[in-house]
Amino acid sequence: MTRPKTIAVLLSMLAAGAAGGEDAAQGVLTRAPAVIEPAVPEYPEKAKAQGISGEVVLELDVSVEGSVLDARVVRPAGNGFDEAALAAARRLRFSPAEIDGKPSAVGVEYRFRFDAPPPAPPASAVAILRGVVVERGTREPLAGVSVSAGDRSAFTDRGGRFELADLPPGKVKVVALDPGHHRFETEEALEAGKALEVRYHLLRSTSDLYEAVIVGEREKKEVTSVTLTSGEVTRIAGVSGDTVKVVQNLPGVARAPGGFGLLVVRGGNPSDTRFYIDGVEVPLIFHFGGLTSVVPSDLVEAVDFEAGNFGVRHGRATGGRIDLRTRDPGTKRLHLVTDANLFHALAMGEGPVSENAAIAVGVRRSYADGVIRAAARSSDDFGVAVAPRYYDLQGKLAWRPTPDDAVRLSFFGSDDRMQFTGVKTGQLEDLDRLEIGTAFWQATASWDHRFSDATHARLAVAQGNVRVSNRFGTVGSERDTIPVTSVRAEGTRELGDSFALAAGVDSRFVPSSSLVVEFPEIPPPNQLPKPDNRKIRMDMNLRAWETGVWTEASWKPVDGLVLVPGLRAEREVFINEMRWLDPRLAARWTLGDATTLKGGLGLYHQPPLAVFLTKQWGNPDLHEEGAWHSMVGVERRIWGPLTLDLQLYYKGLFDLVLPTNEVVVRDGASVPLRYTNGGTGSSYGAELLLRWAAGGRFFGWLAYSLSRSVRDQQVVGGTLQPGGDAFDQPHNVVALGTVELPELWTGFSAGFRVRYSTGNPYQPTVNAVYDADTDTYQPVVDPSSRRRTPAFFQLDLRADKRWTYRTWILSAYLEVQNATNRKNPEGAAYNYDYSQQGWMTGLPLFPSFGIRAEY
Amino acid sequence: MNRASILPLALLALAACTPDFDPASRVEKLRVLAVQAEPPEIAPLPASGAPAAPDRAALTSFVLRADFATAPGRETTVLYLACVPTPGDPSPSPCVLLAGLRDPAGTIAEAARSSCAGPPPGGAAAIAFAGVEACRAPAAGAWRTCGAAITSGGLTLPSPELALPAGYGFDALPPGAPERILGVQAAVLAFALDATPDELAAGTGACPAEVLATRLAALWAQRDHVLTVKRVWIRGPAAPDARNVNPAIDGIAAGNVPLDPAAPASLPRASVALTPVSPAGADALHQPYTELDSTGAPIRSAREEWVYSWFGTAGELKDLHTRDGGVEAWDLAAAAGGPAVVAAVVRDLRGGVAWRWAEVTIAP
Repeated sequence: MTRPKTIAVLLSMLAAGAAGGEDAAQGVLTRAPAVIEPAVPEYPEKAKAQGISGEVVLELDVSVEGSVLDARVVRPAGNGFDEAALAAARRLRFSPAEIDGKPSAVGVEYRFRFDAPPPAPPASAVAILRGVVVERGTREPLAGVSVSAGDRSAFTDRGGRFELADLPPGKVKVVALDPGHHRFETEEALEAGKALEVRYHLLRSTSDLYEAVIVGEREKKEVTSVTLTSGEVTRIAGVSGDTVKVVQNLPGVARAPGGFGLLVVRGGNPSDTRFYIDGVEVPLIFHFGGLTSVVPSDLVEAVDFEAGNFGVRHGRATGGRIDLRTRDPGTKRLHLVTDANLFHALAMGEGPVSENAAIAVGVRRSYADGVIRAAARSSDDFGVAVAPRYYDLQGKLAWRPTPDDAVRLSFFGSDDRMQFTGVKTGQLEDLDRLEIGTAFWQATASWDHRFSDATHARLAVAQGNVRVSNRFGTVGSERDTIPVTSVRAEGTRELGDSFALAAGVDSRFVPSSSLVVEFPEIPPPNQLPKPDNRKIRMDMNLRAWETGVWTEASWKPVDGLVLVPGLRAEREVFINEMRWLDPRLAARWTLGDATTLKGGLGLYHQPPLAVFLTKQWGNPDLHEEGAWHSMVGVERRIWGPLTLDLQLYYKGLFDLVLPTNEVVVRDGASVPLRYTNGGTGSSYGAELLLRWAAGGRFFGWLAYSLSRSVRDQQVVGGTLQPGGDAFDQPHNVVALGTVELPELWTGFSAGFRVRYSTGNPYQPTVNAVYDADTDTYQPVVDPSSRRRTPAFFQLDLRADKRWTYRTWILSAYLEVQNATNRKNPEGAAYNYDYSQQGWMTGLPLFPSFGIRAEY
Repeated sequence: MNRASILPLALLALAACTPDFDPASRVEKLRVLAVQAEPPEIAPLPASGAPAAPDRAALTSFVLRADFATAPGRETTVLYLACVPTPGDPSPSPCVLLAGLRDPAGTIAEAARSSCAGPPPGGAAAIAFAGVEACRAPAAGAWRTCGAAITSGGLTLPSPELALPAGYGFDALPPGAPERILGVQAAVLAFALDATPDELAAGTGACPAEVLATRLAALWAQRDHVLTVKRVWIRGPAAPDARNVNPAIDGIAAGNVPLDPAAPASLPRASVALTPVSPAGADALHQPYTELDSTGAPIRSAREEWVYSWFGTAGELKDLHTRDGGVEAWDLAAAAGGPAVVAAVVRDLRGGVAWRWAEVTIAP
């Protein structure tokens, strides 16, 4: 059967007024909509019988999601063509347009042309060309590609398929065109009466193969949030593609020593920031406390980082918040990846299970243990029973049973282990065994349901388990098993155009845990430590739970202004009971096309570290720590992909856990109090992020933080982690970028990262005391005196090369950290009696490489 | 339910580069290598019956100077202060507070004042003067380098001693208190100063301790000095084990030949294997004991393992510490010819300590 020829042409873009109840923004079109699901109208029988051609021009209202909300005929053609065109127009689907970088509803002009079919030639005199168009390398079917052969043309459908009939036999030039891919040309030989099946591979013209396209993103309410896509993350120099470490390059995050994953956010302690995967809190985010994150970047769609002033949906943290959003597995084809670098190897596979379900599974393992084992054989200083190694395991199933439902099942597991024997410490006692082992897994089931355009709900239930097995010779040991159940439920309802209400519950339960710990006391502050490591032993079966109930409103009193007040109530039951109420307010005011003012004020609380609450090492009468967050800022789109975000912030810290030498009477006996909630401090500064968004040949950013972090009380010792003021870096500058250079070499890109930061403060040693019982010198510091290590400067370079074959892609990268081989001081180093001081320097020039294959 | 981790910083310490400082085993200036309390464990005198341990301990330091062999007459004076805790009082001892250790002169002055004023009503001073000794190159064969501090005018300054005050005891503690089993620790501060007893005793004052303290404080910042802390166990009435005694060492052997302290041996400029010379029956001196936790509950039974610290005024010693049966390597290849001293300090890791030293001549 012959098919009428129709040509649908996108004529022009109109910045329209209100359409279908959605506001279309004024501004610069930064991404034009493209047809992803074409529609072929029915040729009216009447016109076909009369051999009449026609052209209908329509005006379409396209929603933010890319569906056609309304269609109107602006230039009719009659003869049934108008009705056919209108019917087909409603089946069209576009990729979302973007105005000023944000998905936006737009109006477009669209033309359907109906050419009267020529008299059908004898069947045996024509040929058919049909096939499928996929992307070279990824094999991803491409929709909306224009395929023309001679004077015939068609668009590929959702599955990338096309068919061109009634072609004259013989040689014909075939051209395939698509805005995101290089032009494809070939010549085919057609035989009369036969159909030729073909498969064309188009080469993508931009290199961001896995850039996350965030479709239908909810209007932004957050004031400090920065989102990084996986496409940006994987090629940033100096982080070896680690998703979470990239966050360290954003403003508001202090530089961590040695490239480790410590996250010190706006002057807080490292433990003040909480980590989430898909909104569910996880206990650990790094292997070995800071080496590399537990989720490979291949499964991460984006990272949301909030340095402060986050909304009431999350709590129990006075610092920041980091959420890894994993992507749903691809539903179109099988995708296999294997990746190996200096540290670990990864294998991952994903693919469709059914039309609306897909699954992904990945596993990763380190292999530095082989190198370390070899080094240990030639060393007298330690033996190796289990060389340091880590592995992690991920799986995700995503299922969309209906257009209004999304069900996801995911699993994450991580295992770190090392065991050294005969470790020489240089002290009187060596460690007969040094064992570090941490394992956790978490399985999450989530359900997102859209009741209507105005009402959404989400339920996530997670079950996990944490196991810790540490031993430090005869000094101490820890064996913990902690099962954790998490429940998050939230609902959102829009009440009119300018008001929305959301509420939810966020709970975590530990029904029963086993904590077996033997460790000496934490050395009291402001004293020499005791030489006898007399162990405190704890064998506890602990139940705990924490529940937060929150509600949040989103109100737009006038055009462009959004106010988001919220309230979160929290109850913690863990050794003791704590309750608190956190009111928070955020505001965003969009001025004109490209500028948004923002501000936030809120109260944040968190429980003290668990060890400080135990009666064995801490003070069970402690209560929660708190912080006031305040910020004002401006976001501005300077031009196209170049944006500016400037924030001023102030954090007031109070009720911080502070070590003390005070004595208290408890149960009739005088005992050391050890800790009080007597600490106060503040953190304030300005943060600038100048960012060139991904999507073109270059992406990168300049981040500058001007900040101070101060604690009002000075103690020496008595804590388990350095306080936020230990990373007080008044100036912190990061500039990074990656540029594609196809002119030099196809598939080649190069990147850099430059970092400068003020040195960390340290307390100089005033004198030293020889401890005759331990045969060591103990430093005596003056807590009120501060000096700084010299400034830090480092240049990292990275080069990536990708070879794209028909059905697979090979990539390789070479990275050089500290390319200038600068000896950056990370801390003061002293000789045995502290009479001489030098610097402990970080890693020297450090090359690494990786190779990756994808099918 | 957050978790803290010191692991990143520990890993950084492993991965980072540190300067190449001289090792602690090299003696190049005034050093205090050990402080001995004899006995290492004392106990309050009981109201009746035999005491579990004496109620006082004699204190002495092992002071070694780099010019030991070439300037044997040069003196170091060591002044002792003691802090005896009250059982059941968890307040920190002033002898270990960093505020006081930052200001040694102030600490000495406070101790002198309290010593001169006498004990407060109903108790002992928090920090008190505990004696003086003078250190010099000892006579051949003597293992002690410090002894009585005698001025040129014939005044013998009080010998260093930690004594429990009269009436001291654990009776006020409730029956289940851990201190009854674990005991408590007294802390001793030893201020070693490159000065003679004459220099410290010069001056006038009603109270000799105050004179000493004033002079020492004045010279402290100007002369070589070492401040040392030493703990002495005060045994609880329910302690499960026999009282601790100091370990023993009879000498040092080089290449299995004991070095005679009275006749310096000549050693080649090569690597020499050093071992401690243990007395007969040394194995039996490795006392059994019960490892206790913080509540006084037993964890396990164990036997002492002695650790040896090695020091020398020339050459390079491979390890700062060796253990029972271990051998130290002393590399004299790059050492200048002439006299040198090697020393070994043995610790039982329970507060007991002993030492020996030997003078040698390195071949030119």
